[in-house]
Amino acid sequence: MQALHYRLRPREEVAAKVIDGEAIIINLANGVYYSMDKVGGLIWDLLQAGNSLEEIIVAVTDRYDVSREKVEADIQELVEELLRENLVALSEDGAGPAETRQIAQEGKLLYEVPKLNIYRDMGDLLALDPPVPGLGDTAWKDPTGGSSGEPTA
Amino acid sequence: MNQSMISCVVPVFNGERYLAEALESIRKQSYRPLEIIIADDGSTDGTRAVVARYGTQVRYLWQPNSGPATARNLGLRAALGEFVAFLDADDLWHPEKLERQMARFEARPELDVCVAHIQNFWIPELRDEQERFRDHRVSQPLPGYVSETLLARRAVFERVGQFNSALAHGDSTDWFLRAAEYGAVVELLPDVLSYRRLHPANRSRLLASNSRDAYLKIVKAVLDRRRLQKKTKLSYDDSEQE
Repeated sequence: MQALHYRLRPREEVAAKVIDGEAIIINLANGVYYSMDKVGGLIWDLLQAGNSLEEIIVAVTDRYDVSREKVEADIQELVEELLRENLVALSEDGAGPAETRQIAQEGKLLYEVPKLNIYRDMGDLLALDPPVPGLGDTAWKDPTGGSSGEPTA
Repeated sequence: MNQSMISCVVPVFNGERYLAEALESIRKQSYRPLEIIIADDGSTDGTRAVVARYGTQVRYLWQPNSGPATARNLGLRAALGEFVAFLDADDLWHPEKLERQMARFEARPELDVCVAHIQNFWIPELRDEQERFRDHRVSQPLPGYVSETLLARRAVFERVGQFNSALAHGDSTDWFLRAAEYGAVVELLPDVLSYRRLHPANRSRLLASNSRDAYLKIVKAVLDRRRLQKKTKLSYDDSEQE
């Protein structure tokens, strides 16, 4: 059980993005990839933006037709799974989200338990080619003196 | 015995520095017959002069700069061999790469694609980085689901399609995922048969954050295709029951 003021940060070796409402997550260390859609997609979006567990629970309860108790229990379970899969790290401090998202909503959406889908079948294919954190993002000093590294966000 | 010809496609963009080494590692292959096709992706350096030294031993194709996937496809379309292999202009093959892989095709007539392990190596100028990554998995032999280790029947590309030229990065990963979806028979050899040179101009470095995005989109596309297939199959099963 995690305290609700905690925030979750995607780990360094994790690449993730919410595309069309579905969170796509790759652990670059082992090539395992994951997806979460609907409620799960929203939760990942909010945690990646730096929201605390409490803020995520409030946002989900606002948007979906569901009790706070149910959301809290489901999110606790999901958090344990994300930690077990080494996708996120807990942090107690840190700034909150840049802006609080106000979700305009007429009527509430049908709630479904957020589910982390896990795909271990393509591990070898995905583990090699994506740039390795630290290797790809090295700030390069090339012989001409220019830097060809990607600026760090 | 009549041996099958392998077309070795070398996509190159401004690769004058290492191209000759790559070509030598093809010429030193213990397997014959083979043809070497250079697909120049609009180089503006001395690439053409390096190629000229090889005269008629290589076939040279040129296109305006359009990315490595398009260059590989250019070479693929010109290939005459029953089999096709690819080597990037800064990388190297083990001298027995093609021979060992062809032995698998002889042993397993149903085989479509053979890949092998790949070993990264650093140029001397990057010794510091090599040291930093000494215990990291990038310093170990890695399963090479990448074009540098790929040897495939040319006919496979008619089923699976060519490399996706819309992708600036990850086009070989995308190809292998599609090959798996089409049920291509793929064997991974435990041997290290390709060597990937790490240097400051590696494409994956320059596109580091872009390529993360590209990979996420490739995975999303795979999931969407799988769900569509499942849906199509389900509705097909439904109509059968009627």
